[in-house]
Amino acid sequence: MPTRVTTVAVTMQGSTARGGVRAAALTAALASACYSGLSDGGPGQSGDAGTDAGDAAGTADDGGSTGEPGGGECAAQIAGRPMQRLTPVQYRNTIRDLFGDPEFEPSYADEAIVTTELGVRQLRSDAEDILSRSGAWTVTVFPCATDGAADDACADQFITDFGRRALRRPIDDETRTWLRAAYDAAIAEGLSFADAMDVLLATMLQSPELVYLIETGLPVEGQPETIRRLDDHELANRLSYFLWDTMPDDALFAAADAGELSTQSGIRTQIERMLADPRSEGKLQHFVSEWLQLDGGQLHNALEESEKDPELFPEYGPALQAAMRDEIEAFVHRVFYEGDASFEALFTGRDAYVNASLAALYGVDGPASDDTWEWVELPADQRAGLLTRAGFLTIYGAARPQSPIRRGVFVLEELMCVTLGEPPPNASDTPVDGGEDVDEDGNPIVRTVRQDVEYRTQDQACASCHSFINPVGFTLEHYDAIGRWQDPELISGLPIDSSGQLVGDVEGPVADGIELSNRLAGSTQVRECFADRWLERATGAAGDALDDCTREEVRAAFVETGDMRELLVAIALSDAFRFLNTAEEE
Amino acid sequence: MRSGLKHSGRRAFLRGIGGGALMLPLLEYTHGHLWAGGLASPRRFITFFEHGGTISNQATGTGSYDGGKHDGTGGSHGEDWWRPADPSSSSLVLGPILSVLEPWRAKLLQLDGIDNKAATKQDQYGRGGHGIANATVLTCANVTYGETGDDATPDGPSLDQVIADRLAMVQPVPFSRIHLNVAGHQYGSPYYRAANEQVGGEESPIAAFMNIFAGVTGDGEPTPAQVRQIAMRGSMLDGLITGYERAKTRVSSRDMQVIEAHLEHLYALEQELLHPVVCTAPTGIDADGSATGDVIGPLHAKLIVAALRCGLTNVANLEVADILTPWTPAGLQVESGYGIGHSLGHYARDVGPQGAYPDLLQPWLAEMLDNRKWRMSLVAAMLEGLDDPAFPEGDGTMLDNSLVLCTSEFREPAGHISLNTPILLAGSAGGTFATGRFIDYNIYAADDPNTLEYETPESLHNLYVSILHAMGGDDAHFGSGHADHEGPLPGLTV
Repeated sequence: MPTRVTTVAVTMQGSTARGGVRAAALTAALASACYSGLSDGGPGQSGDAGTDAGDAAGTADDGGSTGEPGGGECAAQIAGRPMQRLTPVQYRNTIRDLFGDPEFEPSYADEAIVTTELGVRQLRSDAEDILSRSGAWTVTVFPCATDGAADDACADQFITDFGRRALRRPIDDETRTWLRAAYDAAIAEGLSFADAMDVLLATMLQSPELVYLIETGLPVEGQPETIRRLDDHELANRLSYFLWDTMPDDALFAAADAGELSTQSGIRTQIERMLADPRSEGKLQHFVSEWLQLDGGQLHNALEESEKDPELFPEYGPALQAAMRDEIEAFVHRVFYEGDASFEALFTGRDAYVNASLAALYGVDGPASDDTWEWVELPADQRAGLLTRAGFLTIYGAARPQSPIRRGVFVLEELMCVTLGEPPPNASDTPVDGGEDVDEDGNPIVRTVRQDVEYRTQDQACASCHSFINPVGFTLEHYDAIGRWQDPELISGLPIDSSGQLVGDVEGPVADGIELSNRLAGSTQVRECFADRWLERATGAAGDALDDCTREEVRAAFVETGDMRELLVAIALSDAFRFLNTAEEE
Repeated sequence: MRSGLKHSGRRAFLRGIGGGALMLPLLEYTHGHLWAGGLASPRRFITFFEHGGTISNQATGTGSYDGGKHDGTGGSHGEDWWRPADPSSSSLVLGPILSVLEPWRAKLLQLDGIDNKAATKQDQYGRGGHGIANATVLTCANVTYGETGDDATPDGPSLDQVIADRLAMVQPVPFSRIHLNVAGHQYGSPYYRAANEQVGGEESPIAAFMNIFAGVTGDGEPTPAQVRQIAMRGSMLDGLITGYERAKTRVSSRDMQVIEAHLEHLYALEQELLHPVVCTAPTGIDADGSATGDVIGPLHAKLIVAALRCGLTNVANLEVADILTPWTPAGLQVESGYGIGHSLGHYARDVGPQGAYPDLLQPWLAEMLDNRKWRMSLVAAMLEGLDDPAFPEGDGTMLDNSLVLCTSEFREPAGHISLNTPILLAGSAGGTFATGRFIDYNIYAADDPNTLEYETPESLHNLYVSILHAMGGDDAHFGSGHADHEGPLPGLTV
């Protein structure tokens, strides 16, 4: 399938003076250095001064959120955020769980900020498709046989039982009146009992309560009336879609019904249960895929659609591409679920789950066939963590050469949360592929990819940004366009120079990809960036200054421990996650 | 906009069906007879939007980069194969890319020298990047930037939406607009239902067919299955409209826009139920969105023609992403970076004699030419269908009463040039436009049609005013205040 345009980096605007200024300051420095001709307010102008909201919020020194109904120090300092709509993945999972139909594939694919007409059509089409798949349902949907005369009591029971699950909360009187009226109207129109029940079901499936996360919250003692705490069912929904990308299960429903999500201990019990559940892995892997842009980005196709020169890479093809994806997922699984969920391990781990083709790519002994997989340890002088894995290196490589520019941009933007802004409009997008060329005097020469990049980006308009980008990307020069170790360089036959330079809180010379990975693993800036990405995912909002209080708490905890499980726990326990700010934007 | 037909129209229709005879409400349902008040002849508006610009040597005409147009002696090539082969001719002589449209040359109107001034004047570089070009090319709107320039969003709807809403008031149809997409890599969409509400097209021909022709009956009598489906959908919509109206009381004013948008879409679905159509649905729509572009594109064109013939809509959009076209005779000649069409376009600044890849000029031109000609073949398919004499309208064809706008967000993709937007109009909108001509609004072209100098007082704002007038409007202006002047383009009308 064709690539989709995805979002680019999140800036770290509005960071407070108390911490987290590193990326913002670096962004500001790069912005001013990169584009001296920028007009005020244009893109690429970032690193604006933070607001005072975070400074006035109190400190995180006391441990932050208490989880008590009144909220912690940050409850009054959270940003309003837009109502969330189920993503296509969440909708699919919800329907599968609602009907016990794991094979259901929806047409719903709407990811626009505001619902499109196409998306509404798809919801209708999917509702009708679901009705036609009643033979595949493995849960009881209708509490009675619907092929007979109208049974109003059955309709009422259906609204109570199934409606509660579909709309993800107990049915109140107003909702019951609405749904019952829909059923009554269908009967009055002359529809059969079966059709009227189908209409009722289809109405629930397209209802605002299912499609959106509508949250109104509860008043909070001691807080302004615009600050409200999510009620237990609203919180259950948020937890479930944050950690599982699907509706709450029976245990989470029961906890909400019992009011157990009103205390920190009750919330933590559910979070830990949910993180240990296999359903959390889908969300985790989806996050990592998006983080690494394995499914495509602004300037590259998905891993499965990346094409390579068959002469240079005869082993490359759909099977190897799929194996690369499987390897990364297995590695992430092992780190998170079998290890200590260490963020550092994502960058430094050398264990790899390989089949024969992958083992050959990595130059290690491995299984005899592609149908057999086993764990191996990659060479310490060649590999360390995700940045040296084939799948990642493949998407940031062109058809022939590796791409130090794109690899450098990825590290800066996605791992360090630095906004580089837009390149100048005449910036070339053609591959910088090294190899045979001519110099300025017309003499034939051979350049490495690195030398070609340096030559092409030496112009003043380019160098102001590429002086930061290139040295980061050069550290990965030992990995060709499908991630094989190369020395000498495949394209040019010349020796590899992998020396580079990092910026930010770990600035300084870097020898190669191993050292790059190790330095990033220990970087406070990288950890803060990772925490921000997850917090953004959880709250649906990016970088609002009003969330500085929560952001600082979450960052501080993660920087100290590097424990990704505890990061997710901290986010789910945070005030920004558990409270609403209903103040209208000015 | 909310009509009172929610219950009365549909229930009356159902009672009619119950009697066995299909009552056709209000309008006749053969092509060309849809038109209620106001206009002397039917009107329909079609856009063909291809992402990624064309083969052109257009530069910025300003400041720090090359002025005017590239002469082909530097890094950039010096060709413009979108332009007429003979720009000095008073009648249209189609260039290489548009040559596939030769059979309809007399009904074409090609325009050069029209800038997207909403993009150039709001872009920090004065030329238009990906985001701002897409956000303004059909809206001419003020933009707001997000995290990056690629996140630019307009403060108003795109032209097709405006026309669709207006035509729907005088020419009610089941679908206010149909939007189909040959999917691939593209930097956003130029289509906006309203401010900040970007919309995309249906990618699957099968899904499009199921949606568009679901209510179409071929022989005047709906099948029992269709009757049941309409009844159930109507009941669903009743319940959902009530449900979303309820939801409005429970969300913030910020989120109200989302709920209201959802409601508007539900009303649109209801409108389809109120206007069942009797016509012949197209056959052979047998591919979904996983098929390649060479399969999907022609099917989309076929669906649009069929939908227009059936009177199912007044406005149709065929959008083509910036895709590579390995199926063309030239196929893939050069390595396109990461396999995306925009990487192919970027060679434009590298294949000149002083560029990084001078030896690739000819293969690059060959690949680009076939790529762009293939895209135009989809336009040809639509024009062939609309101009078919078997479907006459008055003294002419459906094409004569239509206006097809073919354009792109860039003229020259490597420089992301939003000056000299590629514009091709087909059809005369009921005799409004004088066709079979080429008009160049470049102020230097009057003395020398082949000049490399470039400057123009005209903007898409002005073109779209002309189009709105052709569709029955009397707008003084369209879009933002970035145009040099308000009002229509000079010289278009008969």
